[in-house]
Amino acid sequence: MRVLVDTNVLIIGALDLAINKDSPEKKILELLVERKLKLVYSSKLLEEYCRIALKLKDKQFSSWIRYLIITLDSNFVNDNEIEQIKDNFKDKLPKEDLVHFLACVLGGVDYLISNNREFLKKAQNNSFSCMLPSQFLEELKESR
Amino acid sequence: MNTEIIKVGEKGQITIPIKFRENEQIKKGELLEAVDLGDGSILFTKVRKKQEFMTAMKILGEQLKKKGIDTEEKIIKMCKDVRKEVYNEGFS
Repeated sequence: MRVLVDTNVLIIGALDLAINKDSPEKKILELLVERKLKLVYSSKLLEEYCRIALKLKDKQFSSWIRYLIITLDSNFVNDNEIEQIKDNFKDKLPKEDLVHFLACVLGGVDYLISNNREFLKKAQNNSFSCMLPSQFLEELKESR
Repeated sequence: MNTEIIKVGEKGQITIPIKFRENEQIKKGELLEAVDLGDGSILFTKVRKKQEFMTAMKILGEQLKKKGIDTEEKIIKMCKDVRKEVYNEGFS
């Protein structure tokens, strides 16, 4: 199953791990690590993950996060491919969200998982589902 | 079971005997988890790949806590700001 895990999901999952709280975000991290989900990402999404790691700690930590993300079961969507189709969708979403929506389109995701409700609402389409982490886990449970 | 006596350095550094490193395939830069067993023993275990990711995420979470970014709302806001920042640096 291919998913794009929005930055807020990854970061909330990290906090929940540190405070030992069971949450859908934490479960999604576990599913990624168990390679039960294939992570679709672009350079911008990877940069967001790493930028937060850099802001919170240091460059070395940020590089470590980068290395760990790319060694997950993942599929990288090239910036050039995104550039080629972005004009077709330019009015659908705010510019900064558009690149992530297009990574979903090009990466053939089954789910876009985010806690940004505005992003989820605008990204609704017929090709893949846009869901909150809790909704995603619910759907995953039902499909098994 | 192999045993070796090792000396602790000035800043607490220790060197894992080469025989142990070879047997356990411990390479430079690899992470080890240290567990204080409370009886004068400290157990070192290799952090496996899966565990390494979760360890990194936990460290990230601890930093969030330390900096007071400890609610979903604060995290969502920070992520939105970072998204704008990354986007504004240009689409390459």
